[in-house]
Amino acid sequence: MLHSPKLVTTGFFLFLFAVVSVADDSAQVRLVGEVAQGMDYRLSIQQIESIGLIEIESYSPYDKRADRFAGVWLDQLVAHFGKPEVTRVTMRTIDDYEVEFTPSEWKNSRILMVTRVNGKHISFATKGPIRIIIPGYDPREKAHQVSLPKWIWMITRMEFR
Amino acid sequence: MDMDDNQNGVQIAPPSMVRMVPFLVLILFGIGIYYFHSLEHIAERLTESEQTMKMADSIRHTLKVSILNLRASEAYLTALSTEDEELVNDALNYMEASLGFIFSEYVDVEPLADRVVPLIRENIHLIETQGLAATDERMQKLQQNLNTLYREVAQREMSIWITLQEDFIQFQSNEYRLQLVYQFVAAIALVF
Repeated sequence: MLHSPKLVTTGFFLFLFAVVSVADDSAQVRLVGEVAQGMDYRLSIQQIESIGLIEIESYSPYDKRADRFAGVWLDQLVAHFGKPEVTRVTMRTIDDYEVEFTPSEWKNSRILMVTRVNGKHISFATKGPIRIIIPGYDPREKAHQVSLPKWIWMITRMEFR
Repeated sequence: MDMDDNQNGVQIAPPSMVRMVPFLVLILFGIGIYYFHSLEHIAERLTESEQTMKMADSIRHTLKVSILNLRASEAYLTALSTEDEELVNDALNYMEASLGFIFSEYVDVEPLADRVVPLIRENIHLIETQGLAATDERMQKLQQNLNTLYREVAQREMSIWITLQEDFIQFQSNEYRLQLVYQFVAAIALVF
């Protein structure tokens, strides 16, 4: 037999999950702290994407596959929405997981704030509305392994300090 | 012509040196076993480490499913008492996010997906359709689904934890057995 009942069940749920998870771009992210003058404290996905949406193909060690990720680079996001004196950015997820980035990280590493995967906006059910990836993951590189906890999902708040 | 051992450099090893030979052979044998065992098990250990990480992640994600649904319930109850539409959206977001954790890389997704996902889907549907106009019947159903979800998630977490413990005990037993082999080899070497 080609398919075990276990695989069929999993496939069915993944299919159901894909069908019923309607990802949209209406989600918002809160900005707090040293936000640039004139900027909203609640950003829509369109506002974030408007600063320069780029798309790359990259392997994700969490998803164990390569996907097309689209979003904006963290350095551009900080330069656009934060004050020039910002030296720390703390990202918080819906489950209150927090990760901090420093200028050396966003200047020396390519950190992508992903808003779309394979051309579609991502919902909470698909790790959206924003998730972080650091493209070019190589499991043999210790620095890449160390940065894995920073690949966070479901970001709802960004604090500029 | 007689051979002068001292002048020609031909020497017979003293008896103490001869006795050392089996000892050295055994030491080399022990080291050989150690390296053979290490090399043989590198790939296996890497797989075991990955599996352990996956199980730790799964336990973490399982608990997040519970926490997020609890938060959803709290947000929804507050939304009803304060008539705050935004909190209804928060509740829905928490529930959606809990689905995201179930479908992240998981050690064995079927048991959780089979039992828990339909409950979350039904609760999302209940909240979406009733909004702030909740009925007792629907609220009871929502609570009933949540209670089942907490129970299922706890059982799943316990199941992963037991597997993790069993694997650890197995690992300890294997290491202990290996340690006994080394000690045995060392003891034999000392006897010789």
